[in-house]
Amino acid sequence: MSFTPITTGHYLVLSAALLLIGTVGLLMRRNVIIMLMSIELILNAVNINLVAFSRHWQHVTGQVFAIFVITVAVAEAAVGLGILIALFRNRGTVLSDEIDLLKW
Amino acid sequence: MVNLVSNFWWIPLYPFIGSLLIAILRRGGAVIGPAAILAAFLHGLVVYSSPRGGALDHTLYQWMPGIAFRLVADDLSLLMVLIITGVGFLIHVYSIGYMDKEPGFWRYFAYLNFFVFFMLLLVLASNLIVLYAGWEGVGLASYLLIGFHHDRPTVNRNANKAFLYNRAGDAGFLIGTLILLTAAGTTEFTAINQLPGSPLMLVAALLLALAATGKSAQLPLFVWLPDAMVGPTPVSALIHAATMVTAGIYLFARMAPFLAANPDAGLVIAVIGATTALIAATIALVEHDIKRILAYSTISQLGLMFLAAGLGATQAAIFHVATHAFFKALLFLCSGNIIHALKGEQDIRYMGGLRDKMPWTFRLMVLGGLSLAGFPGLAGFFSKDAILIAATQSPILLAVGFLVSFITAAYVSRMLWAVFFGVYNREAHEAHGTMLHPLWPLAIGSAIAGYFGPHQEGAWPIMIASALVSIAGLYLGRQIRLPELLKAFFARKWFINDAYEVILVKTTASRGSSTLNWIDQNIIDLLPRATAFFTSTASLISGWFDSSVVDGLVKTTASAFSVASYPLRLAQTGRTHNYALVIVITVAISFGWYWLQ
Amino acid sequence: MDAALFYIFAVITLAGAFATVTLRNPIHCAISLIGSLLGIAGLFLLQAAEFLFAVQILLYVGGVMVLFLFVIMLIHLEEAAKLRQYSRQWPVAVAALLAVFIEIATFLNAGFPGLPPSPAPRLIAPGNTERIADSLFYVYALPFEAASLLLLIAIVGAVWMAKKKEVAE
Repeated sequence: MSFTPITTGHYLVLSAALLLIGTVGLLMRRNVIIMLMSIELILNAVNINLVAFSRHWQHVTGQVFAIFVITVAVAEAAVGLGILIALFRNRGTVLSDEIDLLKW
Repeated sequence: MVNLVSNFWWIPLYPFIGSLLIAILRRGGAVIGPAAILAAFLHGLVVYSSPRGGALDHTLYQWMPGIAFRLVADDLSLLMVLIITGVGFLIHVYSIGYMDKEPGFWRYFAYLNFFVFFMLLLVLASNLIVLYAGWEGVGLASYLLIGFHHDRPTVNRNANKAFLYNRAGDAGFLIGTLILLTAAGTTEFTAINQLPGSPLMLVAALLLALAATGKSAQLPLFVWLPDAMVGPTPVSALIHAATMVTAGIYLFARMAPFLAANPDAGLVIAVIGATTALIAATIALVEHDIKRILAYSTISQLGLMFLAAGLGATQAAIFHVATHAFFKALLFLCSGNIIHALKGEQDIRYMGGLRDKMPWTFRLMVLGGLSLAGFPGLAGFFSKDAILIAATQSPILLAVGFLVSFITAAYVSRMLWAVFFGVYNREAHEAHGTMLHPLWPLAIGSAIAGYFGPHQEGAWPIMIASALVSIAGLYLGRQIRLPELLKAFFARKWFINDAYEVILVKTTASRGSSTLNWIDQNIIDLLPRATAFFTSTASLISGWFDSSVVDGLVKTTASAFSVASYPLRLAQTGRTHNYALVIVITVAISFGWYWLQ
Repeated sequence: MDAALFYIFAVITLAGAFATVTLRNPIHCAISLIGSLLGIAGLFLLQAAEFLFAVQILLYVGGVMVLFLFVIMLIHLEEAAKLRQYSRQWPVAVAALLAVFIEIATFLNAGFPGLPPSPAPRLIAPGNTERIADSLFYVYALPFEAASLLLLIAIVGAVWMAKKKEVAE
């Protein structure tokens, strides 16, 4: 069986799909932990995109950028979880609907 | 030397200047006043006795075509001048004593001279306009003099009453004058007296007659004269006996041809005169105030003069004016002596037996009273007879005339008996000096003036009859006891005053006041009320504007903010979740926008 | 061969991602995410990004996801798991995302001809890692240092945030 050759476009479509799934999770779930995980998905979608283009242009900058993205994602995850823990301690909940102190 | 005859028009100037001087100087009234009148009298005497060759006239100022300020001196006017200034002078002198120690002494003499000036103007006028000026002027002077003691309670009201009733008549005068002016193109008596009779002329004549009833205190406008007695007695003597009240008769005399051309007017005048004479005489019979008795007597005698004038007997009327001036002034001044001696008492019921204490006043007053009553031989007898003779044209009027004569004699007798005879119970002293001596000329006049009058022909029956009536009245006057009903009726002045009170005063006051009120509110106050209305409306509008528009603007702005912010506020859920959604939506939209480009 | 591997890894990735956003229990979500990440790592390898493949597994899976699991276990989420899972805004979200998806699809369809053909692949080169190293330490040295600084801040922040506040208030 021979499929069509995998082009960069395939990767882009994949990246887009992952992006959307991640965004769906971000917007639709109430649990903040799962929202954070969705953010990770989004970041990974970006990484796929970067690497795909890095291969397309035969340039390594894309991968270097992806390394940085991973770095940032790690830092963000750590800090986000720290916030989550603090939030849980203060509010007793991790449901985003109930965290509305900034409500008018 | 100055030609006094052709400069006769100076005559009114003497009292005018006198009045002015006294008013400016505020003193010297006792000297300047009588002096001015005396000067006028002497000048008048000179002019009267000089050969004049017809009427003199002098035009001082031509005002408009047909109206000039012109004076005329003929027998009639000069006779009046002499009466006015002669009697006036005597009364001025009398006043020096009577008004002694009175506050406002100078004011009195200034007013008195003022009055004489206007009266002279009236009699010397050659046309209706100048006469009207004098007419009004004497009315004003009368008001001022009646109201002289303006601090006493009823005085002001009575002065107003006199003036207003005069004024009512003056309205008729003006309209009548204007009618004549349009008919003849001028108001000169010479021209008017040539106008033929017509219904319009009759109206004019009646209007002028109405004015005369006001001035001469006849029906219907006589009620002011008795109340005018609150003025000083010399004033009553001069103005309300001898001069001003005779102005009406003088007017008739001046316009005799005109009246003759409208005989119906004359008839009306005669009837008014007769009726008034009768009514006034009956009232005089029951009055108690000595001055009011004399006042009603004056009204009655004026009625007789009206009678004569209305019937065309101008000479008889003027004759009676002259004699009446003498004896009525005499009577008033004597009564002034009595009042002065009794320290202000005027009620004859509280007098009595003054014959011994005041012998000269007694004799003088008896003389005047007998002359008034028409005692044979005295002046009043002759002048009254002249009138009675003229009245023979109508039996009714003649009968009324005799009746009036009888009643006149009766009330004279009653008055004299009450004052001088009977029980003496008051302290009194005889008059002296200036309050006594001026009376002599008046007494002499009351006695002998009759012999200078117009000659009567075929008058014997009348003369005998009137003599008998007079004596009978004098005798019975003491004895008469009227039925109580009649007494009450006369005492209430035939209810005329009351009728006037109701019809005119109250109605005018209430209707008038409500009409005036309406006028005041809606016409006079229109501008302020309109202004107030506009101001309040404007303030209402601006208030409304302020609260609804201006404040509304503010409130709307504020509420716009709050209303608009509400949906926007809902976006602030405080949930980051929702904010993330918003971000995505924004991305979708921007992508779409870019896509559509 | 490439194609088959691609599709396998792609399926793993997408399935894992879908599971992550759908499952009720957070631990299940975390496990699915791990699976998804592994799939992505495989994709990296297919594109000759060996270094990145290694970094992905080491850091992402071994670091971040472990962290996630620890935190999940720290917070008692049993009660939350029983509650409603999906936010009330999900219809709007779906609509918006659908719009975005269509747009992206259209983009991809239409806007691709401008992409020039890639040059011949030179798979055997000095080596992927060496090349990354070259780029990272020479050209992008500054961002590298900045990233390390960022990590420092993140560490400090995370520690401080999660600390129990005894002396606060």
